Amino acid sequence: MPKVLESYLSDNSQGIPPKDNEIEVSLFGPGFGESIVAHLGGGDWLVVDSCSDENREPVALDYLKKIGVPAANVRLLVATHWHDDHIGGLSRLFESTINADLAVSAAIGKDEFLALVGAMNENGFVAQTGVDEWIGILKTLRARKAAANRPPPLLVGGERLLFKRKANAAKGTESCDIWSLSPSDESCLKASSTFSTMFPTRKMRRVAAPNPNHNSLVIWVKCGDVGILLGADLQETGSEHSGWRAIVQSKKRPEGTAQIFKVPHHGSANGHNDKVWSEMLVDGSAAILTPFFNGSVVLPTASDIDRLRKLSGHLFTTRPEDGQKIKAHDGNMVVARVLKETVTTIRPITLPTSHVRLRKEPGKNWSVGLFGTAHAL
Amino acid sequence: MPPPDIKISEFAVVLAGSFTPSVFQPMWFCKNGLLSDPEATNAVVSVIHPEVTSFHTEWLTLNVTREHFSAMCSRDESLLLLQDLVAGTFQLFAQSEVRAMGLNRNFHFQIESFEARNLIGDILAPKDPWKPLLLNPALASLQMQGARPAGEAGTVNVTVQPSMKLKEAGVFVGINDHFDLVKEKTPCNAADAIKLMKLVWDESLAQADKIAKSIVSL
Amino acid sequence: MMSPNVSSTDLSSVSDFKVGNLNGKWDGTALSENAQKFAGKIAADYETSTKTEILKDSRREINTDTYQKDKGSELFTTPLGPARPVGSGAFTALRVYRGIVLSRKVDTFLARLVDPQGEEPGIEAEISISEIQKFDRDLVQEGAAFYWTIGFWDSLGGLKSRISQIRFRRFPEWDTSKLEKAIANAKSLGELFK
Repeated sequence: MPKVLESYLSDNSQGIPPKDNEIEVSLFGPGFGESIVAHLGGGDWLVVDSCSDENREPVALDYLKKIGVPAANVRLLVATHWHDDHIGGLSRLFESTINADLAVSAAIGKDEFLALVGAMNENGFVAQTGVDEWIGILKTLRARKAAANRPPPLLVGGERLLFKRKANAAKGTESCDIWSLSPSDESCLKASSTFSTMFPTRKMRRVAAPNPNHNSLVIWVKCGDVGILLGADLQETGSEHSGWRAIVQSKKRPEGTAQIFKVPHHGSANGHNDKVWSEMLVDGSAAILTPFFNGSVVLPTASDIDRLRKLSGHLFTTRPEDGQKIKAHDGNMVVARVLKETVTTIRPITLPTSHVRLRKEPGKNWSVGLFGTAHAL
Repeated sequence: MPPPDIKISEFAVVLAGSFTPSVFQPMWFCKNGLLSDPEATNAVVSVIHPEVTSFHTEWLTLNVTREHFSAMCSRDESLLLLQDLVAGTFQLFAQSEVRAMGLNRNFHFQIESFEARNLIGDILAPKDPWKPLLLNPALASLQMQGARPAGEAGTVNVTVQPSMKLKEAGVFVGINDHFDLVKEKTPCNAADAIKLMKLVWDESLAQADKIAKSIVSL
Repeated sequence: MMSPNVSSTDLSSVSDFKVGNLNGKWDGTALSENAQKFAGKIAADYETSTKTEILKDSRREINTDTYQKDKGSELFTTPLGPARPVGSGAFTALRVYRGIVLSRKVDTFLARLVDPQGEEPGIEAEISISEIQKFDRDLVQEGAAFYWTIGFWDSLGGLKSRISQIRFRRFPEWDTSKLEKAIANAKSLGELFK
């Protein structure tokens, strides 16, 4: 098994930026949401999805600021799908990353989605995280179009080259290609159809996210000889034309295998496909994932962790360690007592953000930094 | 020293414009999803008439004339329900003409003694100029007006007087946060008034709280 | 400086806003001049033989299909109390959570609670349906929004009570013209992606 990882960095290095030729993949969570910040070398950055920290700031912006990287260095911003936990703070992030192309599912650019967002925006009653973020993004798009200073978003349906950089020997930067591998055309059509069925016709409520996990953007990054597969929340659908099966079977996807894998859908069995591991990842790859909590649903489960341990060379999560109790509380004793007396179960949703960071210089092995409650499984 | 206790607090949204009072019956609110059936059924109705409608529930008092729509809440834990009810009502009457909006906050403070209360009155309205003119001059009611922060037409009006509701030495402080909504002789529509209401709601309540507590702490 | 302007929304001098007892004990301080005159006329007329006419008049204006049937006949026949309950205390809020229902089971529901003041982190809690007012229980469905207000109520008599109130938010039905507007706007928004 190749040695993908070598050393663990100490905690206080979180604020040190990567070297110019150093590739980095940083995964932020847990709590509510996840976000990936990646350095492609040469000062070019990629951000995939967005979540907010306990101060309601987009974690990606906070991290870039911490390491002294201007948000303008982000070249590509990807919104993999519209679930609340993947787009918290996205509009502010998009506004700040003035040089970034925005990549979204093709279904987002269609009338069905835009009408739904518009209709939800007309509802002045309930603040809906997802809708507010999209409204903010549309505002920024409108301003940029008026100023004619940025190209339109990249609408993804299937494999598409989202970013390309040639190698520059003088600068010491490797070539870099970023591809989308999904969603498939079938998924985009289904998503549009779902959005149209969600269009309000009765008393308004918050719109529960439909199942756009089938509409997730999976990202493939190749920088020099480094391959990175970011699995978003894509699940297996059972169809040849959507989900992971469509990606694995595709003859159009870029060749190569990845050393780093952001495990899809919080490690769930629904997000698993054996052939992804056997055909798209190196043996002994490093896998990273964030947890998911929703009432009694907790991902990854114990059996998910077992499965992932057997398949990966190294497995890291931003989830607190078992036994590390993080209690929901209220600073006010009276309120805390009322909560305790009233609710059956309670847990915090905004936890301090944790961070798994993988870095690699050319010719060297990967190193990992674990910050907050992030740990190896 | 902490400010005196608030014994009664009320909050009202008042819109000045053109309304049809007889529409605003409890069951109308229920039918449109703005009040529950038991609340509407058990509402105490004073009058429903083309010129005036008035009813109250456990937390809401509604009074509507042709020129004024007033929704008042005497239980602060229901303030947000009041906001929803007013916003929901004028979502249905989005094009109603509204000339002005008032967010009115009333407090009745219990002052520790008549002497302490009189001291507040003496500070707000010194008696010396009145002594040659009146026998035993006393402050019956004081109204002050201030300008709104830049950019908003309207005034902030504060009324201070002895409380009629508290048996012992009480002081009533009423803050009328008044917004003029007529631009170039054209009233705005209710939809815009409601947008403004939601925008300024928290700030208005906080400002009223600060003004009232400052006055009774003089 | 003295200002002659009187705010048209300051009803503090009429803060009791009593409609008054239309059986004759007219208070009438609260209403606009027109309403006062009219209500006064109603009160006066009621005492005469024209009360039937007044009932007929008022019924013409009221859609008795929507108004509660068993109250329709009582409009002017029973003594009418003050227009609102006299304020009887003050509430101090400790926390006002805004909640969203994530899922509903038979006897419980899962909700996400957020403190808009940002003083406390968000929480997810499972709450028993029995904690919800009976008239709100139909509203407990996925996506429904509610307030959870926690604080103290101090009565005029000096009694202090702890208040914990969960109330579901109520909104009117959708305005179809807004839905049509959203559909129409979608086309122009689509141009932002081209």
